[in-house]
Amino acid sequence: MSPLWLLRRIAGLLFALVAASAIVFVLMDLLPGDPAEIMLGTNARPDTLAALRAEMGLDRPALIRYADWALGLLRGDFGRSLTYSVPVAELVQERLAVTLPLAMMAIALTLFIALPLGAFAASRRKSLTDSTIIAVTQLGVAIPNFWFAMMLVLVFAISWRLLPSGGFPGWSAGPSAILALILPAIALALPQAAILTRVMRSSLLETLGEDYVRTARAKGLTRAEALRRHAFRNALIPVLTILGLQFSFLIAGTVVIENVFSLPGLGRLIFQAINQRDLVVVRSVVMLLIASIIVINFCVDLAYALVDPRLRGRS
Amino acid sequence: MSALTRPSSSAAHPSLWFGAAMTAIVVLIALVSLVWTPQDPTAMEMTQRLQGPSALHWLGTDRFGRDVLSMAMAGAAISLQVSFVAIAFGMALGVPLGLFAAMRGGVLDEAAMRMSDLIFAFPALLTAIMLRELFGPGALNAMIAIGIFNVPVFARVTYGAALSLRTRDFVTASRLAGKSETLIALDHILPNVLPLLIVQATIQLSLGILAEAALSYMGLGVQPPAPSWGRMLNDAQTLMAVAPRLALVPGLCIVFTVLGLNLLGDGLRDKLDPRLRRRQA
Repeated sequence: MSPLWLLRRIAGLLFALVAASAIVFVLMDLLPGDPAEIMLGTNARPDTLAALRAEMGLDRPALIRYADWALGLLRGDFGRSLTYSVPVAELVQERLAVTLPLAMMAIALTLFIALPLGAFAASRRKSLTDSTIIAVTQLGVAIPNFWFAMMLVLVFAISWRLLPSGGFPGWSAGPSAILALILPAIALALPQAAILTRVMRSSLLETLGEDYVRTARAKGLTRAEALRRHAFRNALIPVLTILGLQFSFLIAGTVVIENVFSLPGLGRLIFQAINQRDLVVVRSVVMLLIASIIVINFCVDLAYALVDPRLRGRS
Repeated sequence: MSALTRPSSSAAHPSLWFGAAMTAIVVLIALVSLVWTPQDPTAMEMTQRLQGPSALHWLGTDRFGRDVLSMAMAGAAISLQVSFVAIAFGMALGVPLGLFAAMRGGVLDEAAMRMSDLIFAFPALLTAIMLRELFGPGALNAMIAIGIFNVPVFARVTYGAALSLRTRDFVTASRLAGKSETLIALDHILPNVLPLLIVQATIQLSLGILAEAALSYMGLGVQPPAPSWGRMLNDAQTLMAVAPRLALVPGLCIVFTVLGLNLLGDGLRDKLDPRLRRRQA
């Protein structure tokens, strides 16, 4: 990986982060009007409004406010929540303890389902098994994750009483905390797994047609051995890319699913903040989520280039 | 015959016909709902609340006594309407952006495509949250939020196809004949990109249906009393133990619609995308 290529990618990442923060600031702070009035309502007393405006620094030019906010984000200072009267960073840290494990569980489950299923379908191309797997994934892509979540609750929580229907007891509760995340993780993983299974299948089929696989077969390897030793690893490259691209859907999904299961994560924090008109929290958490999508896509780009040198020359 | 649109000689893909039939049913129901529904989908009748299926209410009633079938029919119209406008929005901005970037090349090309990459980082849900204070929660908010996410998708498809077309002989001939780049883009490139755009539009339409449902479910999309599938699911959530059918009906409507559109998209892609035809050959 040439240093120039890496520098260009890092410059692109920094540009994307600055541009995204500018868009968030303009959409949430400048265009809607007076943020203090939005937060307190039109019936607020003028002195209360003036105090909030002063606290938020709204009397200063927009550019200075933006710079203050953006530099604050870099230092980990996300502002102060008006509803909770604590720094937003504290809230974010607390909520990440739920969102992050949930997202990780969903990704792990996605890979656990998609990789073997996709490989299995590819190894039995045009068989009944293959067609069934394709049909199931087609259905999986069409099911909204929050509806699937409701159906999981109906079956596993309401009818069979095997798992909790919502809420989170906290990590100190031990195994019940993990139990509380199982249904949300399954709901999040389903559409992702359906998409990745299809990608894995088609990627593996393409790789199996490559010359080096044919050579391996000619040297005496069975189809299964050639698949395991040569094709599988190379077929993972497109899977990795799609997984990275799917990250924005995973983030949006997490926000929705946390609300379905009343999990105290970042997604729920955003919606509680929206209802409480706490714009400081909404703005910072939205920015944090968008920044995480940009950074993950950057990492996927790097990983992709590490695996496939041809892509380093790509603009 | 255009360069990319030669129809496939192979027998039509079955998913195309399944998808087309399923989509046609949903569109027909949506159109019918504009002029007729069994009951007024917004009329509340508290004496009839949470009734099971009957001759009067085929799919029963919700907690306000509203007719579930009528709400599901009207929901189809709203869902398609939001998604169609979002597609139009995405195409209106994305296609010219992709064409412009491909035809101009250089720094402007790089800047335009980087900008479209950036928009990819804004899922419709987060955009809808940001636009909430600007437009207020409602169908318009959903249309714009989903539409913005569609812009880079259409820009990418147009850009990729236009780049490969601009070096083709018929484009070079037009350039030598003195045609301007704008005219070449409109007369030669755009008609050839159109099949790919139609396929992509079908796929984005299904994603739009899912996004609209999620936004309405979260209270960021269509607002009551207008019925929408996402809103119906939100209302049904607290009644899952007593009336699961309230969640089943709108959920199955979404699955049926999205499945139909995905099958249609797959079928159209098999038929129209030259790269796939070449691979199949």
